[in-house]
Amino acid sequence: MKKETHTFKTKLRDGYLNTMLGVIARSLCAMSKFDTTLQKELEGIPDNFILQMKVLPNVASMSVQKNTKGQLDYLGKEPNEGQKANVVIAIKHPELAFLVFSFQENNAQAFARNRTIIEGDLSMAMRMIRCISHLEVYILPKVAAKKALKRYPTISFLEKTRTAVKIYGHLTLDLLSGKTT
Amino acid sequence: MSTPCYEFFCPVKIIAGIRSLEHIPHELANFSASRPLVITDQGVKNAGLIQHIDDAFNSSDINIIDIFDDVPPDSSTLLVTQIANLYRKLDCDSIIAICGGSVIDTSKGVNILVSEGGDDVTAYSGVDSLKRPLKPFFVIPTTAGTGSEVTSVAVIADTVKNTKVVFTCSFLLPNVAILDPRMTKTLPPQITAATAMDALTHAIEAFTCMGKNPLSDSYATAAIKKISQSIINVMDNPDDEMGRLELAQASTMAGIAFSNSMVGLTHALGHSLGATCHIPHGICMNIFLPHALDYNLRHGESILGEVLLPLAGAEAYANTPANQRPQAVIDYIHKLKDELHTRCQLPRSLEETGRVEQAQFSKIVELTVDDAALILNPIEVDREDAMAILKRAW
Repeated sequence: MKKETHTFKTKLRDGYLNTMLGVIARSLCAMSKFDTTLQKELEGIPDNFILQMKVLPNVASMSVQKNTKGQLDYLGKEPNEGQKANVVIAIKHPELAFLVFSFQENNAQAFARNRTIIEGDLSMAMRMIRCISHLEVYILPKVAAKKALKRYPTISFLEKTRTAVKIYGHLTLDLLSGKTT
Repeated sequence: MSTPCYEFFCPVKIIAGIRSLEHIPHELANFSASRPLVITDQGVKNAGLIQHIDDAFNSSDINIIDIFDDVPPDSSTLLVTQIANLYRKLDCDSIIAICGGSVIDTSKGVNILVSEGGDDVTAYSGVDSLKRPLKPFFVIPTTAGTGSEVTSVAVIADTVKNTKVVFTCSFLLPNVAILDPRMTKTLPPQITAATAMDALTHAIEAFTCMGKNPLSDSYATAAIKKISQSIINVMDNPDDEMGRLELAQASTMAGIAFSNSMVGLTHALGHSLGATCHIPHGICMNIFLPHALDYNLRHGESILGEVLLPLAGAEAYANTPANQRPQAVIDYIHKLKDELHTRCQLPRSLEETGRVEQAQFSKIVELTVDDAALILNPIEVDREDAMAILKRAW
C-alpha cells in the first residue's frame, strides 16, 4: 500500500502551485479583455477552445476557454461537465512543476528535459504558450520574467507598470463580479 | 551545455550493410512470424527494388504473402483501414514497409489496427494511446534522410475530417530496420542530395537545440561526419555502395539523435514552407539550414562552433580560431549547397525553387511561429524574425 507522505512542506508546495496556476489563468482572462497582442493571438484559435494546464497527479490544475467575443473565460480547475480540453499541458510531477514556477527552469527547458507533456493540437498549444509568455512579461517582476522566458522584450518600466495595473484592475473587477471564482 | 536531465530511447534493431536484406527471413523467424505483408509504393515497384526483397526470401522457408504497392505520397486513414483488411483477409502476421515517410507512417497505422483491432485508426491518435507491443514490424528505407525507421511518430491524413492525425507512442517504433545499399543505389541525384541535407539538418539541430543530451550528441556528431565525408563522393559516384551505406547509416543515426532531442527553427520554417508551397522537405532543409543557424548564432547561440570538427574535420577545426568556428560552419554549409547545386541543381534559395512567391511569406511566417519545433530552438523567434529569415533565404 502506498505510504502517505504529505508533509507540511509538500502541502505548502502544492498550495503554491495551485496559487500560481490560478493567478496565471485569471490574469490571462483579465488581460484578454484589453490587450491587442493577446487578442491577435487568440484570433487564430477557434471559439470555445479549452486549454487546461495541470500538475500530475492531480496536484494542481486550471482551465480557460475562449469565448465568442475573442476573450478568455476562467473555467476553474477542470473544464465544465461534458467538456474536454482541446489542449492539455501537463507537468509530470509537482517537484518538476515547482522548478518551473519558482523560475529555476523556464518553460522551454522543462520541455527540453521531458518534464512536460502536451496533448492535442500542437499549433494551438504554441499560440497559448505565446499568450502565457506575453502575460508573464507584465505580471512577473523583470528578474523572474527574464528567467521564465527565452527572450525578454524591450519595454519601458512605465509600459510594464501600466499594463500590470490594467491586468490587476480587470482581475479585481472580475473577482468582485464573481466571474473568476 | 547539455541538458542536465534527459530521456533517451531507441529499441530498434539495426541491420546495416551489404546483403543485409538476406537477414530478414531469420529475423522474422526470431519473432515467430512467417506470413509478412509488404507495404510499399509505385516508385519502389517501378525502380525494381521489390526484386531484391524477393531474392532475399529465396532459399528460405518464409514466403511474402502479398505486396501492397500503391501507397500515395500523402497517406490516409481510409487507406490504412483498406490495407489492414487485406492483412486480416490474408491472415498475415507481420509487416515489412519499404520506402520513405508516407509508406512507413501508413504501415505504422496498419500495425495499430491489425494489433489492436477495429477499423478506425484515429481512435488510437495522440500521445501514448497504445499500451502493448504491436505485430512484428520491419522497415527498409529507400531514401537516406527521413530517419522514420527509428522514430515513434506517425502522421496520417484523416480525409473525412480533413485533418492530419498524429500518433506518438514508443510501440510504433519498428522492431527491425534494414539498411541495405542496394535499396538506395538507384536514388536520383537530386533526391540523394536533398535527403542527405535533411539528415544533416536533423543531426545539426539535434546537436545545437535545447533538447541535446550526451547520447543524442554522439549519434548527431557521428552522422554529421559520415554525411560530410560521403555526400560529394556519392554524388560523383552514385554506384558506390559503401558510400550509399554511409549515407543510410548517417540518416538512421541522425534520426536516433533528433527523435531523442528534437529539432528547431530550420524544421519549423521547413514544415511551413512545405505545407504552403508543396516543396519536398529535404529541399526546404537545404535552403533554410545555414540561415537558421546564422539567426541563432547572431542572437547568442553558443554551441555551433563544435559542429566544425565532425563537419570539416580535425585539421580545419584546429586551424580555425575558436571564435571563428561558428561562422566557419555556416560558410561550410553554404559551400556544400553550392557544390550540390552544381551537381544536381538542388535549389539553394527560395527563388531558385521557382515555386515560391514573396506574397506567400506571411502565411509561412504564421505557420512557422505555430510550429512546435520552435519550442526547443535555443533562441526565441517571433513573426518579424521569421520574416527576416525568409527574406534572407529568398
